[in-house]
Amino acid sequence: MVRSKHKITGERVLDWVIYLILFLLIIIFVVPLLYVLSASVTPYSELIRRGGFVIVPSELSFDAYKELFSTSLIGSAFKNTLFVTIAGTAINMVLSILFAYPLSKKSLPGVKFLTLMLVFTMMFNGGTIPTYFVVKDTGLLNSLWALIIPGAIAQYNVILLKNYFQSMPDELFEAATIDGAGAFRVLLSIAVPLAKPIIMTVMLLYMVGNWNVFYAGILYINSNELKPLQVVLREILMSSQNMLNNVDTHAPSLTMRMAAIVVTSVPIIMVYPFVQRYFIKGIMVGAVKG
Amino acid sequence: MMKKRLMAMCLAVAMAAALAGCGGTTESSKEETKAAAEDTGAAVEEGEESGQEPVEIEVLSLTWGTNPEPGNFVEEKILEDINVKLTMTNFATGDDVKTSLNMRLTGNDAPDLFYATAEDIADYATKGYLLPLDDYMDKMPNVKAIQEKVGVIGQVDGVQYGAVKQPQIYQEGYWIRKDWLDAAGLPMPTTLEELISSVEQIMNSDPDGNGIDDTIGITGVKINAIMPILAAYGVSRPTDLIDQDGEVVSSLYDENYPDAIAYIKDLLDKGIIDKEIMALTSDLYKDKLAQGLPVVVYDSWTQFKKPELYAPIEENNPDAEWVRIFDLEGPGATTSGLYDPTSVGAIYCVPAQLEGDEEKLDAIWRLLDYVAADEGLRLVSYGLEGEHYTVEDGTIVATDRMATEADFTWVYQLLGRNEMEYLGVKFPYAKAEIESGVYDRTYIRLVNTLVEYPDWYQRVDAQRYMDEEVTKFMFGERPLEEYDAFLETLDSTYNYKEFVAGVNEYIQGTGVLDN
Repeated sequence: MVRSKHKITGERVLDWVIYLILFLLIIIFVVPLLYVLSASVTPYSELIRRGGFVIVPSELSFDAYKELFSTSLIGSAFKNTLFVTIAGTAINMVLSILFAYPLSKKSLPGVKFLTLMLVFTMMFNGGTIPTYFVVKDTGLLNSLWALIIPGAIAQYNVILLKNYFQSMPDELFEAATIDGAGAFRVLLSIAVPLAKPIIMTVMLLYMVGNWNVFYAGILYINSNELKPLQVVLREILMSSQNMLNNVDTHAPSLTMRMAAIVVTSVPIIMVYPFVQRYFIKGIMVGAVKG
Repeated sequence: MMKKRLMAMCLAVAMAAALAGCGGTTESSKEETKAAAEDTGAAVEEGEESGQEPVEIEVLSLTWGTNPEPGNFVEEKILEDINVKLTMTNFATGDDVKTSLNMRLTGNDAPDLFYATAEDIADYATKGYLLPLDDYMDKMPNVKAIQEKVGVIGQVDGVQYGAVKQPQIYQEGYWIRKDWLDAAGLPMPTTLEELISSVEQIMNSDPDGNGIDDTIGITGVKINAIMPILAAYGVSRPTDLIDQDGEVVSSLYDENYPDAIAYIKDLLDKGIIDKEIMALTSDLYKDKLAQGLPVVVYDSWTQFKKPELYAPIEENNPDAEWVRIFDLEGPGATTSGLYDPTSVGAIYCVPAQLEGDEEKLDAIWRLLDYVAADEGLRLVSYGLEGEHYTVEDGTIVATDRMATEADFTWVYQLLGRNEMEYLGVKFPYAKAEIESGVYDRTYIRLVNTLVEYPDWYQRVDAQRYMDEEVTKFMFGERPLEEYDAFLETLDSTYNYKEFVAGVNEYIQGTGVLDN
């Protein structure tokens, strides 16, 4: 470590080159986000006057947000997506853990076959139309559950969890059993707390997936009041493109579209800092042990 | 240590490279709907259905992001008048409609009445998804009257598969900054030559006086921006088929086409036509307009006359005065543009799975006929009498509440409306603009919506080829000397001549062009 104070010139130059590249990358990543945020709080006339690109608005205006919530379906869509994210992720986690934990036990009869089935369905799924039939015949069409149940278990996440559980020493579980813990007690008091990094990681993956649910929303949801956030966001963004000929409507303003992007992205972006420290650890640790 | 740093640098460079690879744009296809206005005919009143349970009808439609509250006064009135409980399933883009509809048709779970385009219908009909309506037309006298006017639209192989939403009026063209014309002492241009020289002169005189050479000559969204120039040469966009003295032809074979391209190329080279047109989305175009850069734009009257659309432009350019250019005289024709009078906004179809469900079918016919004329048409056009409009001496007069409370009713205009009356009531301030665009104008007539595409014809590929090559010619990416080679490839690869001849024969057979 003493050496680092006397870095040789080559190392120092390289350091600076790395800093410079990363700094440029930060700018490239941050400016678009900043632009969206700025444009959403800039008065529309100012945005137009300044050529549609503003980073520091001269005054703050929340008209775009007012317009957004009063004229679009974003309010109900927000509620729907919040429900799908919270209830959906809870269901995802319970089912995935209950699936992965037994699979991690070599002593489980038929464990190889079950694992094979898991991987098989990951490689070959039913396809869009058969899945639609299942959703339809189970009466889930046009309900928020259609956005949750069909994708309740993501095989890849189960494998991540299973690998992590497998990496835990069997002695731990034996000790707990000897102390009188039942299977569920062992799972809840030993396995789950120890698997926190991977559980947080998988939870984040599920959460983001649920928050971003789009295609299922187009396929399975017909009522406006049940549309999820991403579907409504796309409607707002796309409707400005297509309407040169429609005298009855007018496109949402640029500021309103930016406000819509902020409303749909910021909540899920805010989740990342809380979970990120588990993220790398979770995926790496599970991945090494096969 | 050195190794680690090198590694770190490689990673950083890789990230930057990956980022650079994330380019690409998605283009949303713009559906062309331009058409004429006519009055609907007489109608027969509906029978009362009271006392029975309401019949539930789901209508799937394309509403560009307008989503009326369920159970609003229109739906209530429809329930009250014809005992139909209406549920609207709305989508904001044509792509979403198709995604949902394809799934639901395949899954035998189709909506009772759904939006389709003329192209979709052929596809759905061949797959057997659609219920033929011929046997039921007599139950819908109002719909039948409309159908008689629009002719073969909504038909596939002579079978009626859809109820047609009547065409809207043609409302787009070149608009010019009259205030700049006046300042330069120039008259309103009547010929293409005059137009271009005026634009050039204005451009070079720094009309906004900001000291920067930033004025754009002619702009618009994509090929729209040059449509009136093509029209002045008597030709159309590359993929259009036009009516030339009663014959359906492709103007690519017109001797004027290479001339038109050469002329446009010259204007692009000189910077008179905005070089960015092909990359412009409607947002980017509007940015330019609002910044007060262009002298001439291709746009609709709504942009300049509807207060909410014009406000941002006016705020930044209080002196701007935009005037529509009509009847531009060019080397090939004197026209106000390209226009498809049969371009319908939508066709509403009934799924084949409803065959035999007489109660539901009857309700659908009631609904269609109701919104096609009289009371129902007024409801979906203007709202409720006494609340959103009044009738004075047979004329509809809007009340203050119409604009605020009945601005969504167009979603229910399944069969269209009395276009001129409608626009007059809704946009009285733009009446002159609207009428001047319709009456006594000559257009090059497009027949695109009448075309039936044979199975062997690779439509998407052929159209892409035509669009791309003509664009290349215009932008100088392919020398114009190769124009004949382009036509040859078009024939040898896509059998385009044979296709056009087939279309001509078919359309001649329908007698539509005689109208």
